[in-house]
Amino acid sequence: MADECLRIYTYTVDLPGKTNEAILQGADDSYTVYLDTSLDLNGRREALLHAMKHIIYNDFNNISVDAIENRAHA
Amino acid sequence: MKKYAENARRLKLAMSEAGLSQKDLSARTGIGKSSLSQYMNGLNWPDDNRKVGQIAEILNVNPAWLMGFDAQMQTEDDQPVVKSAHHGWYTDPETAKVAQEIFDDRDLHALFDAARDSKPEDLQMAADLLRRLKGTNPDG
Repeated sequence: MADECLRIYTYTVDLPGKTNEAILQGADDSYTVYLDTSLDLNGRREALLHAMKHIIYNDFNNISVDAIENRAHA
Repeated sequence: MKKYAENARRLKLAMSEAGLSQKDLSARTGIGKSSLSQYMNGLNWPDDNRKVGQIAEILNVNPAWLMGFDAQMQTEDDQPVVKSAHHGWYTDPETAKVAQEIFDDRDLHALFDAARDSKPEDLQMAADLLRRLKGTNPDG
């Protein structure tokens, strides 16, 4: 039976500048979310929510970062 | 009630304001007239967000609004939401360009939650960090 779990890994790292979070899509369709260590708990929640929006809306199949981010921040 | 009635209403409004007919939009997007007709009548809606983004770009409206979200149809004149890489989320066109390049890099394919006024070098540094992490991360 195929593994249909949605795998999302989260880590905290020291991201440069004003970057709260970064998200990567793995070759196996898993996602890895890196949250900036400087965020407090609420900030991490918000950053994770932002990442979840990208996943839910299948943004990795989109083509325009501007379109993606404007929608994610709307 | 039609399932996509609100999307249809917004699509027709945007087409009207852009002065584009169904035929015009079909020619500009490559989306078939019959598909567009279904979208305009609320009978169907693209599954692929890229199509919606393409339509929104041509109609010069916010894709989030076109998708039916509670968002502005357009932004204020001095800060349009989505027009091009030079008038998008990032205020610095160079940052927008770097963000797009990082996203287009098939070995990385990363998205960021970064401030609008982020500097291009910050995103580049973040991308370099992600490349290193990806190389050492057992989860891929």
